[in-house]
Amino acid sequence: LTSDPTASGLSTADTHRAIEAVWRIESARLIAGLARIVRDIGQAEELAQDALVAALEQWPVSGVPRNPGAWLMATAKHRAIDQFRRRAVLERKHAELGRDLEVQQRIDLATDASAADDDVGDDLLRLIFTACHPVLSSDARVALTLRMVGGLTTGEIARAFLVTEATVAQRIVRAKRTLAEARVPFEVPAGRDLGARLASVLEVVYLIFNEGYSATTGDDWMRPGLSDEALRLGRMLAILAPGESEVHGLVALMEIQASRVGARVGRGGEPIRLLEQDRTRWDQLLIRRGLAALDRAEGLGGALGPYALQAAIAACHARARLPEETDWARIAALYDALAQLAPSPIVDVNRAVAIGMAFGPAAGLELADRLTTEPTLKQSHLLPAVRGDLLDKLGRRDEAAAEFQRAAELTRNSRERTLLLERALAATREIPSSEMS
Amino acid sequence: MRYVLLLPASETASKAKSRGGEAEMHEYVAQLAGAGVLLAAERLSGDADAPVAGFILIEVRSRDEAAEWASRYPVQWTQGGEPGVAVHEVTSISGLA
Repeated sequence: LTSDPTASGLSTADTHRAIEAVWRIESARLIAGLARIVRDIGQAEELAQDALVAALEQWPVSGVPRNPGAWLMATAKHRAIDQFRRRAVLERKHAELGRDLEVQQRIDLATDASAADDDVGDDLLRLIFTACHPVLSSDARVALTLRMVGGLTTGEIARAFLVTEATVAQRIVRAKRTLAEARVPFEVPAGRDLGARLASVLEVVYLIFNEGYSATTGDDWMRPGLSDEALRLGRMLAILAPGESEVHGLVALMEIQASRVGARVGRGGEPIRLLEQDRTRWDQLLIRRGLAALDRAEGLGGALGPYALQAAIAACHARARLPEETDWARIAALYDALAQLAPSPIVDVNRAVAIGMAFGPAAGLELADRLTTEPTLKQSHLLPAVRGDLLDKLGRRDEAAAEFQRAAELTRNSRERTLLLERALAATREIPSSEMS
Repeated sequence: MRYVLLLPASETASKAKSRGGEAEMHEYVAQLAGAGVLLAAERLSGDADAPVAGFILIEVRSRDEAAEWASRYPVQWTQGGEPGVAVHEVTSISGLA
């Protein structure tokens, strides 16, 4: 099974880096396969970690195996069998159940193990659905998914979300305990449950993407590592669940949004608004992938879901070579559909922007003004920022400046605050917004 | 980070293709897609004298991960003594600015 390390010419450091790479690639499948056997993702992760430790001990001497994933799985399964044996012996001593239990468990384990090898995709789906189970809080689902499916370490998750490692570790421990206590089955939901559970999975993936794409806290406007991770999870899901339109819709949305990453931040780290971005810096490969994913979502038939509708809106921007070529009337219509399907004040704010662009700032402001009493928007910078923009376009500069000022006070992102304060100042000085950088 | 895997054009690759070894290649590409790292894959030439037979573009978290994927390239399509899969990081224009 193993190759000669001297023949490969790998140093111990090289081997450790190779093991880390193997772990990135294999850990989710390993944990998923083991969870199917032991029916507990916490225990499955411990077994996988034991196999990783064995690899760290053995591979620098024996060399990296030709099929490292199979090596890790075989090692973890042996440990699982050892655990079953020890437990069986203990139970035999206590209850005098005898050999039958151990033999039966070993047969069950062997049967499950061989079946698991044939169902890697199904196991992964089970793992994703379990890690994103609604019994867990959003934070717990995100942490568990990144750890179990993404293969990120606790430290990496902590750095990505600007929290301490202890906080993330605690979240993961609690999440695993909650799943065990709630006896959450390790399975892909079926029937009526599937829709709600899939929505929970997609929500987690999009939460991760958004935290990377528009960092809600801290000094950075984006933390692209998280967006990349979410995209990877989304692409995996699209392969695992090809018949689910909303999965393709979410992938399309993320691909198209990610295509703008290189254009939405200036040299000084300042955010650049969509219509002012240099579109030659948009990633055409990701746009093509996004449009293809949207085609797949639409091709599955039926009405588009919320993610596919948002992707269709993003596609309108992606298809426009110049800002003035944007089909704002179509975007406004898509937001109307989205508002009916998934009503939310945030969607209404965006609809106001689209209507303002399609039919003039007065029409947009009329809708935006109706949202000023919306309680959920009171603490958000979004509505004052949009109202400021519409008022600015209507030449009501003092009111615009006040709105930008208010938006700056409400945002938690320092880069965005700077941008909003600049716009407030520009409005006061009567500098047209089109002349701002 | 994006990496391009340049697939070697060789006698072995030509033979693998001609004996219907497409299934191994499809399986390899499917593994990349299933892991969520595949961005694009193209065959450029079936000619053994061509500089490369094709390329696979992947997005992974490190060069080591790219190298690990390259090491999993179907053995039926390469053999000792012939050029193996070359791994190159893709630098975007904005990355050069």
